[in-house]
Amino acid sequence: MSGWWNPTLWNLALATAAITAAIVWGVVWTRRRGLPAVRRIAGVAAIEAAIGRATELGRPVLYVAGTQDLDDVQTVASLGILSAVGRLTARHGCQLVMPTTRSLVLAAAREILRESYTAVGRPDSYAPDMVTYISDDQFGFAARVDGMITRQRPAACFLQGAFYAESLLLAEAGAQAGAVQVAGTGMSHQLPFLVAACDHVLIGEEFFAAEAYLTRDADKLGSLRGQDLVKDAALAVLVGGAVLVSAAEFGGWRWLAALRDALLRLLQV
Amino acid sequence: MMRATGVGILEGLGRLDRRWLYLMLFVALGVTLVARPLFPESSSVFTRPVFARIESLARGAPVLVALDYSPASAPEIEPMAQALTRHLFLQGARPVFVTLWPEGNNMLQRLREQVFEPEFPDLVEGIDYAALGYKAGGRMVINALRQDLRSMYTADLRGVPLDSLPALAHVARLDQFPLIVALSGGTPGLKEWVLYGGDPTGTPVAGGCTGIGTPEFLAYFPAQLLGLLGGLKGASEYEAALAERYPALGIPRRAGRAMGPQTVAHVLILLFLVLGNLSYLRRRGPRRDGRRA
Amino acid sequence: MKRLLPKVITSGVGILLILTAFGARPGAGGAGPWPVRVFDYVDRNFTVWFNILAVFAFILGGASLLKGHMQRVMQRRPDWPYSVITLVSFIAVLVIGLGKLGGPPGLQGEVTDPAAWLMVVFAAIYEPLMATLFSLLAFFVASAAYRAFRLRSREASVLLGAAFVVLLGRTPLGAWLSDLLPRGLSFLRIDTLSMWVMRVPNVAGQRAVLIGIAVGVAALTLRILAGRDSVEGDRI
Repeated sequence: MSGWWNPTLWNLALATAAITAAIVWGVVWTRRRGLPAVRRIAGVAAIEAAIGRATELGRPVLYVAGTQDLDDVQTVASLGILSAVGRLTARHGCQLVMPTTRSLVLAAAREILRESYTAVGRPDSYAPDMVTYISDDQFGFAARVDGMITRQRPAACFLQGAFYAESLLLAEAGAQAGAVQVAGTGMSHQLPFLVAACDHVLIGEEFFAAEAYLTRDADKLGSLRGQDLVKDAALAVLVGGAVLVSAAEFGGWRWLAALRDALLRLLQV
Repeated sequence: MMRATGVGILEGLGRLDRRWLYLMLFVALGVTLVARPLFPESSSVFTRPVFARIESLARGAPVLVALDYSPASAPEIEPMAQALTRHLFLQGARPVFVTLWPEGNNMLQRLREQVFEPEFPDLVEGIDYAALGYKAGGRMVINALRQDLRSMYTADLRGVPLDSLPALAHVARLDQFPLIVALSGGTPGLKEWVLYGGDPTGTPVAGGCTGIGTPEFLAYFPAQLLGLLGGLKGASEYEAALAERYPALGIPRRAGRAMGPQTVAHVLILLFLVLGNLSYLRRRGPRRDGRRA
Repeated sequence: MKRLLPKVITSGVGILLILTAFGARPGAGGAGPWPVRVFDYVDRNFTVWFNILAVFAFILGGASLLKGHMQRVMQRRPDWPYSVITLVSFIAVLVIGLGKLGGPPGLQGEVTDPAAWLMVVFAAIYEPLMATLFSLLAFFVASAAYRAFRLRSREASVLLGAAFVVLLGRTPLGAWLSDLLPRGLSFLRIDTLSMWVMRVPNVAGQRAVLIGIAVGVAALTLRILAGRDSVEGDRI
């Protein structure tokens, strides 16, 4: 069996196992001890408020699950948020409009919304045409959605998922239409544009945690506890490692140098 | 009265209809696009290593050039593609063009029409350079090239088998290229070339990207990325360095000429920020009756 | 069973792909133990399978597009002429591409041949449209910045200051203005400060965000593999 694995990736395998263990620990801990206290994220809290506003104004809610396909984990995270948003719009009786760029996302989104509307007892309010396919091309999609925003004037726009250059085209159109906008993405280079044009932005990890916040699911919230543990460990390695490398450089002790080399070997890919 | 009028103008300037902003920007950009001023340029710490590396290439060295961009990002990436290709040919290197984007073949065709044919008419495809073209699969393509070039490409764009191309005479794998130049307008692109191409094989990767992608890729510099041409500024710096190296050749300064409009746009946006904030501070300040607003 | 089977498939394939990332690669000629050959096969072909699935799924998307626009035309809904343009363009480009009109004919004919009508459509219509929409960003950035960058707080002031430095530093004007500084204050050069902002606080922030994203992705992936990323939450 030793010939089955790439021996140079031992440290990555160790890290993967450690992260998995931490997240599983978080879930188990939560099942035994109860839901963790989570800090308020303004963007997540704004989602229900925005849907309420849309209901009062009688204007639709626009949801864009990014512009990438179902093999992108950000799209999967967005569909988790869509499930929660779908329940809210069904409960409030508010119109939901969801343009998509990918056919697989179209199919998945329709299924998710159908289940969401059924779960809150409003199966008749669901219509497959809530979710439409526009174009695989990012700018073709942005042009069409900008037109939809300009004509239909949604009261709330949720831009949740992986975006590229079209992010600002979508966000600015929504801002100019007077919509409350909540964006969320893991694309760090699009964050500045979304921050400038949207009312609330779920930055990186907040985007992946949003589904847990909205559903209050114990296992999802428990995984947040595990994620925090992983981040604490990463911080400890960063700070400790910087101190160690600096001390080894200036101190000159051999045991310190050996420790430094071991740490660098552990972190080397 | 005058003071009140001035204050009123200030507040008005902070609440301009966005169409006035667009008009000002349009006029400013239009004038500079017509005038085409050329500003002096010097290489930054990110572009200098790329230039130095290409300068140090042996004559006939194969260099993998990935054209991973589309017409949308061509205004930023194409000038650097042209400058880098020129430099490679002037150094006598043999670029091998590949792309992970479907539009990449068209971008290569544009390079042929704009650089190869007018400036280097004696180049022979297959000998002085190779055009392998587009393959779908993103990082899978790079993984395959790492092990065996011929597992992914059996022939070039003309249909000539790879084994018949002198440009690829001693190249079977990615690590046999002394340099990878990855010009990227998005994903898949530079990040994949660094993570799956350069880093595992130890092959130096020189990158070019749009301005917006620059901060993301700076994290890889200098350990995993030899150098980075970030956006139009990076392309302009490279053109200036090339023009300084080959003063007699009259190197076209396409990116350099485009820096005029970029400069004007940046200055205008700064002006908008100042106006918006002056008005905002004015509205936030104490009222005439001494109470805060 | 209807819910269990997709979860089992998802979990099984997901775990296989993770193991593949750590698997050894076969030697020359594809030699090696059977798990190594499986890992290599999955690594090289899985994306291809997904792309094939996505192509078939496009039939659903294309049908949805055609249906929506045809309904709009037949019912004369507002802006229905634009739907006519969409339908005509869709069908025309589909015929040109599938029929490989103008280029080398036959199933093996190169659809991206320079003489093909598809490439003419690409160069004459698609490229200018893409460039036009991309250039809208310049105007939208200006209006977004004008509206958003206000001195609301200390953090906003720092952000505004950094924006000034980087905007000026990315142009020759920044270098020219910096040349006016006395030699003793050369550390305040705008181009140098701009590079420092991009390389230090910006990269630090990006790395922090990336670490958070990576951990978030890991957690989501584990939930999917464990079949716990169901759409049925407890309650909202």
